[in-house]
Amino acid sequence: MTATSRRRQPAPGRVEQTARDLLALLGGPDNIAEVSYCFTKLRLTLLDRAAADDTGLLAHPAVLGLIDDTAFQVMLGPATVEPVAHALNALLPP
Amino acid sequence: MTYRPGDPTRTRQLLAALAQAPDPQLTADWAGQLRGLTATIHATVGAHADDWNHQSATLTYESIYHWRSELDRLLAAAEHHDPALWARARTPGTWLDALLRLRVVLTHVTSKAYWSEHTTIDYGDVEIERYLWGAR
Repeated sequence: MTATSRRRQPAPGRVEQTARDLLALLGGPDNIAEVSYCFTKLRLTLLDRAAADDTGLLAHPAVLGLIDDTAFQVMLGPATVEPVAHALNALLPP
Repeated sequence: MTYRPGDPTRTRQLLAALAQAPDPQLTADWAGQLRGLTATIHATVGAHADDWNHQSATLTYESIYHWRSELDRLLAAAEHHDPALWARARTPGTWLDALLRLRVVLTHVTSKAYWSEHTTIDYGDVEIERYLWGAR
């Protein structure tokens, strides 16, 4: 049992697990047309917005918030959004 | 208010200050549950808030995540069931403002512990200043 450090370094396997969790909460791989990211947020193009589980996403400990604007965005934070975006893209069909 | 980052006692005092119960005249179920939650948070973080010698206490990930989830649920219920109150109370200095700020802090602390798979959180690592006002 350890205490937190000041930098948010993902534990091994955490990124991949989080990407799998988010994939399911976003409606599965067939519901995601595109994944990109900015400094802190995943930017998602969803085929069926209603298929995303907003309550489940907000309950996920990695998710800091949701923005439903011109794009559906999931706030993760600056240190983790890039690796999660890459892991999420790797789970999508080619 | 002068805040020294990494000061566990100051962090406990700030967390306790943010855990404000709803106005006493509110009788809705969500308000009662929020009172119970804030009492629990207050009791936990406030227990040693004035004890300057108690520097080793930690929060658990389970409790922080539970508090965050309950705040999400109960504040959503407040917004849904009483939008007029929500609009009126969502201003600086109110109990709702304090709880919204507390939720921001708990959300970031939960995330930080989640990514590092830490089961305990030192009060000194709860970066209230950064989470509330940004790294500026």
